[in-house]
Amino acid sequence: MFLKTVNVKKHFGEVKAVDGVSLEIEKGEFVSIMGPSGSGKTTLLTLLGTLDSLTSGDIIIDYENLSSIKDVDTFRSKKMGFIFQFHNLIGYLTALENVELPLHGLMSIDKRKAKASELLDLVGLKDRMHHIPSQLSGGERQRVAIARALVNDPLLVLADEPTGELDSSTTQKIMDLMKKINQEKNITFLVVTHDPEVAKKTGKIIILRDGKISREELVKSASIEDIMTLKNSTLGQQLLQKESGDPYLEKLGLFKEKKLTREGELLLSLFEKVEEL
Amino acid sequence: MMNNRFFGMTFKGVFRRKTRSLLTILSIVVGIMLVTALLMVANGLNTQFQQLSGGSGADFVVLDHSSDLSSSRVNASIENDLENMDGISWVSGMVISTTNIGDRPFAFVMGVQPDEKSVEQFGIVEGRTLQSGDTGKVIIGRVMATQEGLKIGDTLNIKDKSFEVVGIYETGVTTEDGGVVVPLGEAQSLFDLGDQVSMLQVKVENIDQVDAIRTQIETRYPQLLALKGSEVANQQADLQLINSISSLIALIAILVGSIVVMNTMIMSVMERTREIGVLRAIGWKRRKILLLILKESFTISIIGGVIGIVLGIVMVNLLTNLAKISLNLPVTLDLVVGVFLITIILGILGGFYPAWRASKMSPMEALSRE
Ligand SMILES: Nc1ncnc2c1ncn2[C@@H]1O[C@H](COP(=O)(O)OP(=O)(O)OP(=O)(O)O)[C@@H](O)[C@H]1O
Ligand SMILES: [Mg+2]
Repeated sequence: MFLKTVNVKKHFGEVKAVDGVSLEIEKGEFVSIMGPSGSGKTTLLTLLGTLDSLTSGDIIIDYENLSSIKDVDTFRSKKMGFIFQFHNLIGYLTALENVELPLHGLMSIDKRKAKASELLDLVGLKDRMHHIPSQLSGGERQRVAIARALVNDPLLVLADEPTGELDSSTTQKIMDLMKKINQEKNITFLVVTHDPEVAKKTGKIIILRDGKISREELVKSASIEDIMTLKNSTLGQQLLQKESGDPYLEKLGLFKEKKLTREGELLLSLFEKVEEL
Repeated sequence: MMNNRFFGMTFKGVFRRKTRSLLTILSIVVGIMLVTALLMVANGLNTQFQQLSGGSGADFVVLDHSSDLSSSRVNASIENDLENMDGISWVSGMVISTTNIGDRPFAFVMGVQPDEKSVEQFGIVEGRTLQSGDTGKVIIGRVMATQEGLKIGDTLNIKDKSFEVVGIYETGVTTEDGGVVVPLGEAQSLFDLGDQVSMLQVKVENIDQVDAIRTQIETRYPQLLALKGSEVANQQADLQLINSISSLIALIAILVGSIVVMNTMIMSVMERTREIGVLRAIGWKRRKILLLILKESFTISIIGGVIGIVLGIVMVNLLTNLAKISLNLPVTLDLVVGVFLITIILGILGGFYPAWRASKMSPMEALSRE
């Protein structure tokens, strides 16, 4: 297994941000992590990204147990790419210089430059190379961030709400781009998102609730806003029409073998309830 | 363009807050300018004094313990005693004093015995030198001649007494070239010295014995000092004061400069918590972050330092010209290197703490929402 976590926990005093997560991800998978605010999505990502230490449990990435790695900085710089919700580009550097950053100290300036412009080309920003972030649109910035996350040829890309700040059509484009890269380069993607449309595009959905992996829980205790949003989404519409065609509904466990599951029924009844309110 | 060099990044990092960085640089410029100017004056004066005993070929000078060359008094009888001492080739008495001449606020007036060795250090370039029996005659330095517009045959008033200019000399020591030389007796009466002189220039027969002879003189006359050129400078109270003031100012400049740099860099580092977090997250090691911030503080202090050195030199030259002071204040390599070193120390001192703070930041900051 390329990525594996065994009973991973991260507690901040009383707060059990991640509380016993075990999961397995194959190389080249495109996985989304969903869950309500505070459910531990970001925390889990920081643990997988070697940005923070575990309270207990084990994480194995690329057949190495993270606890046995001494120089996590180098491990990170070789194997991982990060995309953050707020693009987090450096404001006084051009797109090209931002994309180059992970390569500092690893190769010569010329090679860095070549590699970085290759990646900017890949995300369709060849003509924006020498612009600074404030001269770029939100979607363009996020594409620069994607290029930066990929420039070191990572095995694993961790993205925390990469489309959180973008409108829906830009979100689609960014997701399509990440999908394309995932398939072409066989890079494993883990994307935290609140947006079902985003999750829909991924191959596997993990839902967190109170630091634990859950599916049912989400449906049961979703907030009214969550349910309204869900209901108004294409997904919600499909569910209302009891169309089972969409594999995403299966992935979420709302349908099974073309029939509504218990969670599916529950969600539908919730849709009716919010309608009454 | 250095667009993609690490240095380019440092430069951009420094100037992301233009006004603040420019103000920081400006304060370093002012500090370094003052240091440069003071060190130039101190250095210049030191060299002048070191050269005083050199021109005539004397090995050392004898003067009393006074803190200032022009207030030193040596009895004429000692000159005779020394001349009879073993190992001494010649002794030459000399008066050195200062007064205002024309519109020059201060000029050296020197008195020498026309038939003695010490007159030879004033190499004549025009007219003649002083001769035995001359009265009311003066030879003047080249700088004095040019600046006061004096020619051979002109009359010069020193302390209300008229002198005829008979020659123009040049020694290359600007304090001397900005001064005048009169016969010893005239100098003694101008400054009410009786038969005393300011100092004796002494030449030994065998240079190996110079230190032995100096000790011998100092033992025989406890009220006197036998000093080489460089030691004369150390003996001068004014010089000592200037030396210690310039060291003090240099220290204050380093201190204030590094506090200013530190303040700017701490602000910069605090504002860039997220940026530094991102760099850490994408794999930059702590050491590299440390270097990034150090380079920035270095850049600030070196820009300030270079401008400060240049302006300091310009300022000194403007002021000496304006005040008509004949002081040769050369820009030596030592001086430039020294001030540059101060700048570097300032950059390290000011940058280290902020850089260290930055290097301790967590990559988790990249995810902070602020
Ligand atoms: N450094 C920390 N110290 C204390 N508590 C923390 C810390 N980081 C996270 N937490 C807590 O851990 C829980 C999980 O936080 P996390 O940021 O992982 O949630 P999330 O699922 O990413 O939420 P969101 O969707 O709002 O981003 C929250 O209750 C949070 O307050
Ligand atoms: Mg989060």
